[in-house]
Amino acid sequence: MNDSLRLLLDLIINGLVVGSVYSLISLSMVLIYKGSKVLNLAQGELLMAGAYVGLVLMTVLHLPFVLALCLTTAVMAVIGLFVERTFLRPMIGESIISVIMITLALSYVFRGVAGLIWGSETYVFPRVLEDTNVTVGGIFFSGIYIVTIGLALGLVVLFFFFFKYSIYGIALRATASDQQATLSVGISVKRMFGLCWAISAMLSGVIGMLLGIVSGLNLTIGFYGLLALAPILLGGIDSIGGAILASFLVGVIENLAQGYLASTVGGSVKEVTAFSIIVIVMIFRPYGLFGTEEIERL
Amino acid sequence: MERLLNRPSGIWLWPIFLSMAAALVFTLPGSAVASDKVIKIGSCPDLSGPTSEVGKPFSSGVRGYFDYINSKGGINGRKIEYLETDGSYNIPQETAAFKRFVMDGIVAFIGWSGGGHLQIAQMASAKKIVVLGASISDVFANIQTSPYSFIHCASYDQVWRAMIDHAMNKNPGKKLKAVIIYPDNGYGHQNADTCRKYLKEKGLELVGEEIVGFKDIDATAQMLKIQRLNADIALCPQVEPSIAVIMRDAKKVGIDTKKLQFYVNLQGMGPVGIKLGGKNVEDLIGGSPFSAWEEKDLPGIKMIHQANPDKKALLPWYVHGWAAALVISEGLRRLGDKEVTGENLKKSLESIKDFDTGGVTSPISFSPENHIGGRGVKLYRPNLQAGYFEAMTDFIYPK
Amino acid sequence: MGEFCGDTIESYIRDESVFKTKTITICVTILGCCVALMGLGVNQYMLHLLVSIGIAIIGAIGLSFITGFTGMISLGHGAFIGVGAYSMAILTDRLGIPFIIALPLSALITAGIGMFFGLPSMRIKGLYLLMATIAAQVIITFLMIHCQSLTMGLNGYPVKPASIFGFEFDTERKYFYLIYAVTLICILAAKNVARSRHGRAFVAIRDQDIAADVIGVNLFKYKTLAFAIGSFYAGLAGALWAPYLSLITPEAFSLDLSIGYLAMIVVGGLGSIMGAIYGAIFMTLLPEFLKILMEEHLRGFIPDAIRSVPHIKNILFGLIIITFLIFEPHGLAEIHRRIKKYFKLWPFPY
Repeated sequence: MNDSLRLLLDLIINGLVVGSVYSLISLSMVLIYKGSKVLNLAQGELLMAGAYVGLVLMTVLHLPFVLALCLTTAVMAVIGLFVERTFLRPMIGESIISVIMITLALSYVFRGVAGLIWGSETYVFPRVLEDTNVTVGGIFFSGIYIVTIGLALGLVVLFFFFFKYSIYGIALRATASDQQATLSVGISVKRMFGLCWAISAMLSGVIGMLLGIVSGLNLTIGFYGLLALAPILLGGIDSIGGAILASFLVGVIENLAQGYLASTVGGSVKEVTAFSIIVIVMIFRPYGLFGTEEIERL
Repeated sequence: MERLLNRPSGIWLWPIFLSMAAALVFTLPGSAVASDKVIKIGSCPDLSGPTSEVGKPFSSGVRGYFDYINSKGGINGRKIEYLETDGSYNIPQETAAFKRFVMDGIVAFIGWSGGGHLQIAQMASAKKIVVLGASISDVFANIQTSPYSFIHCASYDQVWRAMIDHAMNKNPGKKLKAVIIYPDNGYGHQNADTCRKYLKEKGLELVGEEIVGFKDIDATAQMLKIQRLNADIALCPQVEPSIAVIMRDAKKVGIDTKKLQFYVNLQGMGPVGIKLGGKNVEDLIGGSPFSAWEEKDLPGIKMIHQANPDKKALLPWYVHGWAAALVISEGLRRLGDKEVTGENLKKSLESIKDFDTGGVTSPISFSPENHIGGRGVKLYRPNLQAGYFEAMTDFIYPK
Repeated sequence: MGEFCGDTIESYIRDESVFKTKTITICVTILGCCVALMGLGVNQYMLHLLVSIGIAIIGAIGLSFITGFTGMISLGHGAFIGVGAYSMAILTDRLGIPFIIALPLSALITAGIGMFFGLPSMRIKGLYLLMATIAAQVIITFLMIHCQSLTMGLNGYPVKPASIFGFEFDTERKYFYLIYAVTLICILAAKNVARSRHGRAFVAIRDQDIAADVIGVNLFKYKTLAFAIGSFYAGLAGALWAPYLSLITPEAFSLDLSIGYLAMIVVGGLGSIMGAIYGAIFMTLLPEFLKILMEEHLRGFIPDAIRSVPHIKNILFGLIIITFLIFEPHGLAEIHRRIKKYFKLWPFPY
């Protein structure tokens, strides 16, 4: 296989790997949007919270990896419920601007608290699954990468079915589409909000912890949350399938751009390319590739 | 909760607002006059931003030295007051800090970020205040644009020269191919410019450049491209997390780090890099104008140990800060009884010749034409067992 | 003859006036003179703060038009301020255009670019528009860093001090008066637009845009106009900031700056010029106050307090916004109105 083809393939493979990470993050954001019509700009900070919780569990309490992961999930669910009840509940019914500002403000608070407790140093997790290796097309993947990808894909499939068939999933979709109607059928909308925030926090926490293990943890890990905005825009903010597909697409596009354009443009082109493509797509499909068009009524 | 929401709740915010306003008015920094007994020196290290891992120990080093000197009676009977605020790698914040400290009557300022220092150096020269910086780029030794700016050790230029020379010495006669991997900011570009210049001067081939930023967690795409370039050396002005990511992804795509020699400058040679990178960084070589804490035989380093009896280990950037404070203090010491002003301090510094820092840096010399204090660079290798970078050479003096 | 209870307005002109009673006019004028006098007596750091506040007010008013009045959330404001700053730098440096012409010209250039990025606002709304503005922020920052030939990239673009007909504004004090004058003009102009039919059209679009369209408000024209005016102000703020900073770098015009301005108008009160002013003052002074508190008073108690400052700043920033959003969604301006109402009737309870 000739060399430039190999490069292309390698870039695409790495893009898919990165995309699987994005997919979990964007899934979390879409979840919150579908459940409570809120664009959570603090998603990255939830990621960070999960990572720090995992850090404490593994380094202070010295728990083994799997146990720590499960416990982190539990803690994140509590955090998600807490956030929803304390900060989002009073904002029910307020304008979009207010709600978005609250999530933005929350992201600052989270980062500040984490900074106070842990400072801005980079922390390293104890080594997990270092020795298992898989080679795909000339690229080594250490064990933890495999776990990350596997978990990401598995969870995505799980939630796809959750939303389609589980009673809670259906209830969440109902809440997202029409709160009044849902209430009149007897579903507690408030509980649904809590549920979707809890699940979203759990998902973000898991991926945060995994990311922390793979590349070290410091306050800036929340940046990933912003990067996940690109796939959401592309796929449509309320489409699970769209977000996941778009995540992989964006991962690949970013890598290809970094691979081919960086030398001509000379810089970190990843974010810009992703956002530029989105701007272009939005001109033709304003609601993203798979988003539902909003039909407004007076 | 409902009742609270319905009351004219704004009222209770007023006491907070008013007390804030009152406090602000009453506690404004006054225009202090530099008294003869106290010398004020200001600084704006990054204590919370992307380079805070380097900034915090640097700040401790500066403070450590001044505290030590003050405990020995100060300089010529005068004590040093070290004013510090967090610059957070944010240029407007750094320049605001500078302006505030100028009002407090500082005679010297220690800058931080490459971009901020550039700006502050110009302002300082207008206000006749000496500046040193953690960013030891040659740009700051330009006497035309910033005559009050000094570099307290070998500059980045020397560090890269030393490392490139090392590579050339190991491969005599071969025309080496180099890549530069740098972050997309002031620091990265300044270092990259230096590398390019020297590569050209030595006739080496620059086959590629890649950008890996402070925040990047994945550098696979960049490494894939580098893999195909068959370069011999990789010059990386990076911080620790980035160099760990770079070398991890280099190994991931199959680059043999024994064949492609990675070089990093002092911002990337610390214990965190080793912890994060593990075996991936075993072939890394670092360059620094300073000696390390572990070299306790050197009298200058011994002094650091004495000043910090309860510390197990201090980072390379502590030494960096300590050295900066040391050089300023030497300039102040040479003032004798003269009035402590920025202008006098500048002349005093320029009179320093072959000042022996006890091995902390190579001997320091300034002159009215040259504001780069040192020329010696030490090369380091990571000691994976011990968890820190170990000196593998003594001071090299690149030509 | 003093004040009556209630309004005693007897003509349309009086109704439309900015200051509704003579008392208010006198009070505001005195306030204005006080601020002007402050410029003489206060020390350099205070002047620096006042200049920052002035620039923040201009920027906040701009964002107010886009987000507060017309309801289009924008997180790209920081980038537009940057465009204004770089325009000023390039115009005065490369084209040798004098400051007094470069100032409005930079603002116009920014308005143009703002309109360009505002075009998608026609097809997309709400959250999608927000993300489009984030995209604008990212893309513009990227261009600022990489069009090195134009912007000098990350090394920064040095900007000469402002000078009008040879008079150089090279000290803080002189610059303060310049900013003061410009800010005053901007506030009055903004107030004027806000109470004109254009202002009402903006608010109509924010509240019920489909209904507004039905009654004949040209959505395209007014949305674009809102972006144009907002960006014009942003460009003005940036162009005024550039000579003050004397070296501008792309890192100063980041997403954090955009969030900061959004916070200003949210805390100050959406949809009013006074809100923007309050918010700008409040959010500029807050970090200063915190810094003084932490560094000079708490240093004795907590030795490393200085290291926690930025984190506490973040927490405080976030908590204040949250507190305002939950308890006082109409911001500081609403508090002001309440106090005014209280005093209007004082000492009677109703």
